Amino acid sequence: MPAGRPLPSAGQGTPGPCLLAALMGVTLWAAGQAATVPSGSTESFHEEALFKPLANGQVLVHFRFTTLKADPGQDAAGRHFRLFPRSMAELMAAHDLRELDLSLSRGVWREAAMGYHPRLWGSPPGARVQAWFEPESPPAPDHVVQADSVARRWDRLTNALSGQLCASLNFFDATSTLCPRFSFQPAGISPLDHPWENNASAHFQLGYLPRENVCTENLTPWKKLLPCQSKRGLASLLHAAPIHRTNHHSLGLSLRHVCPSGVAHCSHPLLELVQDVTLVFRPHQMPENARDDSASAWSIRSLFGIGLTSACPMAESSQLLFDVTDDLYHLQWPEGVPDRVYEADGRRVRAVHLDHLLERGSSNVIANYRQPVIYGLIPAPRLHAHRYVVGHGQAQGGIVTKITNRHSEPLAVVFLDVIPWYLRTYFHTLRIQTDQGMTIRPHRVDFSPARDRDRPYVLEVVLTLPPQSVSQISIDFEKSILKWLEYPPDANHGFYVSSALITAVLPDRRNFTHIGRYYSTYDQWLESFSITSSNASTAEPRSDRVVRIFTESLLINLPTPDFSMPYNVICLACTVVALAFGPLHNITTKDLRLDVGPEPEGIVQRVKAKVTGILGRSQPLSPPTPAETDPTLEERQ
Amino acid sequence: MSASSLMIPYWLGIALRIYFSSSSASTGLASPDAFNPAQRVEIATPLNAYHRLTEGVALFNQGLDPYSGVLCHEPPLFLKLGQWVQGRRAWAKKIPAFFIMFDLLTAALVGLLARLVVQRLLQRQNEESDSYHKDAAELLLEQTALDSVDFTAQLSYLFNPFLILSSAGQTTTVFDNFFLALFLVAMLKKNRIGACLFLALAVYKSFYPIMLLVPLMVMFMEGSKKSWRQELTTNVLPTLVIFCGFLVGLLWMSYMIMGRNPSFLWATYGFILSVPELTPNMGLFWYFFTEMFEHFRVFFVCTFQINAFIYVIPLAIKLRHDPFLLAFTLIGLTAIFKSYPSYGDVGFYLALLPILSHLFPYTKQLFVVAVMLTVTTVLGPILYHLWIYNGSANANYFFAINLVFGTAQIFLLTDLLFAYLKREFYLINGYKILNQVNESTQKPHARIVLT
Repeated sequence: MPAGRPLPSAGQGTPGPCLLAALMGVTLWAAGQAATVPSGSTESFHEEALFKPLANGQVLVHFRFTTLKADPGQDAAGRHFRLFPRSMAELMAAHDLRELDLSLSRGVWREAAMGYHPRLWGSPPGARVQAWFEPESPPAPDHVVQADSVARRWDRLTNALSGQLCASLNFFDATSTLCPRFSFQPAGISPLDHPWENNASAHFQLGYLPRENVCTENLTPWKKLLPCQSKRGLASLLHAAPIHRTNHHSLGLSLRHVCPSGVAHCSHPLLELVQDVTLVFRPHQMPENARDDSASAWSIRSLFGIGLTSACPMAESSQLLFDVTDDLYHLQWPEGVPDRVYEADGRRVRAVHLDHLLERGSSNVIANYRQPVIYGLIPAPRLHAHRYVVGHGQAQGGIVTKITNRHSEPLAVVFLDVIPWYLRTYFHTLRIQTDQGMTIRPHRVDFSPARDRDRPYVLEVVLTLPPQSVSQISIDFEKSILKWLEYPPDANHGFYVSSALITAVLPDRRNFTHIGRYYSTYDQWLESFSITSSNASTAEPRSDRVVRIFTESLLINLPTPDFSMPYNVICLACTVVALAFGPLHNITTKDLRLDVGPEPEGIVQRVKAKVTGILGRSQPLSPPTPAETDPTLEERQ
Repeated sequence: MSASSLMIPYWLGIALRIYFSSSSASTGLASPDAFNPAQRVEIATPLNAYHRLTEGVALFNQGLDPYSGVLCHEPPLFLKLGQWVQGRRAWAKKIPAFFIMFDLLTAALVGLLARLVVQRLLQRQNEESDSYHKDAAELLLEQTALDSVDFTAQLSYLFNPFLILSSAGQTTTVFDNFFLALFLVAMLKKNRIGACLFLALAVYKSFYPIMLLVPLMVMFMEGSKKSWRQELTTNVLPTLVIFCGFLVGLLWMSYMIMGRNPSFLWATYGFILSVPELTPNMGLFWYFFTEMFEHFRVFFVCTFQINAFIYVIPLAIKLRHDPFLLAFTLIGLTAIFKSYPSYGDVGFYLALLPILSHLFPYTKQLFVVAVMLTVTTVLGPILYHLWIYNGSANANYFFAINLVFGTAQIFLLTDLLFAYLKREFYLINGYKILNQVNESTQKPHARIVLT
């Protein structure tokens, strides 16, 4: 990225006054330039919100804000920033970033009840960041140097992101970063001049922070990256209160290179920034539905507390999409609002433009259920997984992951597990078997043992799940005792273990919510089906059927020392050492001798001796010398 | 003692070991079993646990460096042995027998050792009888001691609960003890090459026995009237050269086995000396360094390790006439002050106690020590259970037991050393000396004191 390199990085420490002035100058200049650039030529912004009722009666709302821009490195127009946040482009330039995906979320995404996550990369509890760095050109001859420089760039990147999003992403150190070989492939198009499909993992870094909380302070800087911020458009719905009331919410940001029309190769790739928010509401628990147990109606106003008042004028399109596949509810909006119905991807989606809605004076969309929703058996996706801790006590334990495959054919999956160094994991206890006890032979096992305070245990297994089976991957560990100052303030709360990841290419896109790999917006994705409507299902490329399942994260108790008595322990242990040192010193440095000196016994005699000693020193007690008593003794000694 | 009278104790010893090892048969780590000796922290430490060896073998088989992790600390040759044994499918059920076999061999060696030690004592007694006091005749060892000492030593080895659990838990301390027993036998037979070989093996396995070079040299020095310069060239240097030759040979073999990768050095000896893992055991290190302030850590690691080695020279000077007692004391001190002690280490030197039965009459604290050892052995697992599984006690409880256990062993060793000094004193001066002095001075104030 020759053009991008000189740009100062936004997140690297505190810029000095000079740098700040220069930055402001550049920004003003850029703003002036932006006015002269014809609008819509190089940048575009799309906002979309997908509403989807889930099988368990909950409602998924997925916001997707897409900003596209010509690659800053490729042509002159790319260096002007009108909609695309400049800080993000600088981030990419300063760290030689090829792709970035980060998610901050709270609450587990339960595939069994909710289907697959609407994000391409999924969203485990806590924070997760993954990045591909630009392969160097020419490729570095020495692999060690390469890996080192990737690690250093990762370190700088996470520090910059931590400033950018007010999250503790700077805690990504070597103990929480890994570089798996099979689970991840870049999502965007590959670099033109040096494709990396074969060794992409050498440029990849992934980090988990399962304990990271998602908070308003992350949402605010995140919203500032949007062209209309949260003042207008769909983002005006995103207030802290409704978001933090949800069952699951995740905040995502991803950067990559795409082609304009959803294809894998093109001459003028675009830089894509997707900001997304995924929320899962419980409409039947909302106050409006409180009087009737079976009522589960919802509306934009009831979910978010406010209605929509304006579209973002910068947006090329602002769309509301409603998944009406099961035809459970009818949508209520003013007569005459034009809408489209897409039959795509095995689903029916009704789309309405926000502008059209607002023109008719409506700020709300209400979903009224045709009949009470009955929660019966939830048809779970054919591939889903659970993970839990086994064993009791604070000395040993095990982690078991159960992967269910309800397909009628065998399914190849990649299993990735990261276990922190303080759970001493025994590779020889790894067992992969079906529920019937049949052992599954994995195709490939990559295990990297941990080093204390340095790197985690990483287990990556490629295996084929038998059809109609529940497979179980289990591994045992010993809990180690940390040094007393290494425990977090609430030591008995426990330690988080990040989610395991299961990656698979499914035979079909059933239960999928996320869009095809090379598409940027739902609109583009759904349109692509109407173009090739006749053979839509057969045209799905393999990469569009990739699913990533994050399991539950775990909370594990470690044995704790008594934090209150380091001094006592040090004193007592040293005393025991002294108990040995003293007598041994005596034994080795002294000899046994006969002592016949007077030793008045008892307190009375001792006082008497003292009194006589003080009163009259006339009669001193003269002890006989040993020589007098035993002449042989001295000779011998 | 005839061989037939030993049959019953040996079979009983085997039965006990099999009984306790049956509960350790391949239960996973995830299902804790309080009665499984292989999972008890008092028995299986990071250095000798069988599942750590298995882990190393598993990583080795996987094509990884077994020392790239933090779990395996067995030296490469033992890893290779483990790989070879575990690689035989037919032997899968017989692995406990392997450990029991070596333990029984050690028992036999201890019997032999007991005979050799007592023979030496008798021989020295005959040589020095001129210098003994006339009263001391009653204190002398009798020839009949030779008849029973090997029997009692073997019994105390076979039925030592620490050793039964240690071999039933398949700890590799069984091999430590085997090499130490071989070394002691070779030392008493004055076989320099053999002693150096077995000592090199013991040092290669667990490093601390390097101290035993000193008793070995003292053994060869004994009775000789050479000058120190002659001593240096005829005794010290050859011993050192032979020992280092064996040790370097072992390390070189390990280096070649590991594909010219020296990572095993840090994972084994570096681990023993720098004490990075704080898993509980019966020693003094783990909790001390859990609670240690980080900036004092290095200082105290050095202090504690120096403490383990510092007694060699003064004890060697004091006990120069009794190299076996010197070796015994050093083995005992190692079991107390090493970084990851286990019951196997403690049991080994306790099993040698009957050999020193001539010192028992002069001890003062044997009863106290026996009570302390019993109480701590019973309470240790209970308090550990209360801490780890019930959550109704904390780490201090278990550590208190560790402290008392250590103190009991220290009392035992210092008491025996005092007893040795007293016995020597009485042999020279006669045991009636106190009475004589008291009678002659008309005051019952005479004492024997260390000055």
